[in-house]
Amino acid sequence: MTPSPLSHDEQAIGQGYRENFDRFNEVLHATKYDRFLRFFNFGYAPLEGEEHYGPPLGRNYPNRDSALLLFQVVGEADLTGATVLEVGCGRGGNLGLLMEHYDVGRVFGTDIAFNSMAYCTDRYPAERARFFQADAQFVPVRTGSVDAVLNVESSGCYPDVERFFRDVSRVLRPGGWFLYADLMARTFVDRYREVFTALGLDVVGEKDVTPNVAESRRLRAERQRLAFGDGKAPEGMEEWVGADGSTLNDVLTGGKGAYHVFRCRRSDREADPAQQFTDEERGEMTLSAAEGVELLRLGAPGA
Amino acid sequence: MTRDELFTWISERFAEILEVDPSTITNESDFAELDADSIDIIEVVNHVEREFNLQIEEQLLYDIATFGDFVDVVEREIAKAS
Repeated sequence: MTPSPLSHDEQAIGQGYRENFDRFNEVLHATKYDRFLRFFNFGYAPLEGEEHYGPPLGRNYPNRDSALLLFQVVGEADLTGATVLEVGCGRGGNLGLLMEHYDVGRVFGTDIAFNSMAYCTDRYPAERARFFQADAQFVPVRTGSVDAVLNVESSGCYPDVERFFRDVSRVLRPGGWFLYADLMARTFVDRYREVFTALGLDVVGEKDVTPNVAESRRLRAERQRLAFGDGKAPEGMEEWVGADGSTLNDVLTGGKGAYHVFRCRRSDREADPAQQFTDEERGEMTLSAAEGVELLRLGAPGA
Repeated sequence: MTRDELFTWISERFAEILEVDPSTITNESDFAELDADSIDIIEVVNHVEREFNLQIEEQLLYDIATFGDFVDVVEREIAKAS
């Protein structure tokens, strides 16, 4: 067996997230919302009078904020007939929406959590959607084989995000889309743009959606915190839902974090093989991913 | 169970969830006016599914506007299942 190029610390972070997400699935599975709950993200709420992308949804559509977030990430990208890979697909809500509303071709989802992959495999038709448990830093598909890679609110968990971006660049065909959004340190937004360009991913659209994501949390977080614990939310659920006063909500609303959407297209250029993020930047991102493992550890049911 | 009986049974469950007086819920009650969100609707669906041993396709719930529409969906699903 080939030894992992990830360090022990990096592997431990991955294992920590796998345990956390598997446990989160177990908690949800015990609630009456399990079959309706297909997204693990902070969502997007349009601000007063603001135009937004996306098809109309039914008025009682569950997970509306998360659906709207996906629509803003896709933006004007034409995905008709596209083979789409979502890395960090969780319970598959995004891929379900793409199949329903965007006339995509086949879709593939990967996630580190076994329980999420089991949920997706049960739920989506195997002739259109396939799911694999995999580490995001080793995307298990052929070079130049997909038309779009989707990655929403997941990359903050990766101890080596550059390795992931390189793999995105590798698997996309020229002209393919990288549709990406996450909460990141505000100081990194410009650096991400530079790194994408160096890796052959041309940024063709982007938007800071921090106020929209913060609004989504203001409207929904507390309600979700209670619901996801069936009235007895486990300790730590406040971080999962980004409730007021949680560390992640503070990052989102306090100015330190930026929730940013990048839409990139794979150019014909080779990716620059040199390391792009500095050692200091890499250290900062790895530390942040490690802190996330601790924040998202769910305890026993609470009040 | 007649539609009226079904209406009464569901409205009582829904009133418990929303913490309102059941008599305030009518066929014309709009979910938005009742301040019911998708989590409340899932909760009442869960009661209905357990009581009548059904599984309601969630797409059937996306566009319903009023409480009466919801009772109609449940009535149809019970008829289909029996």
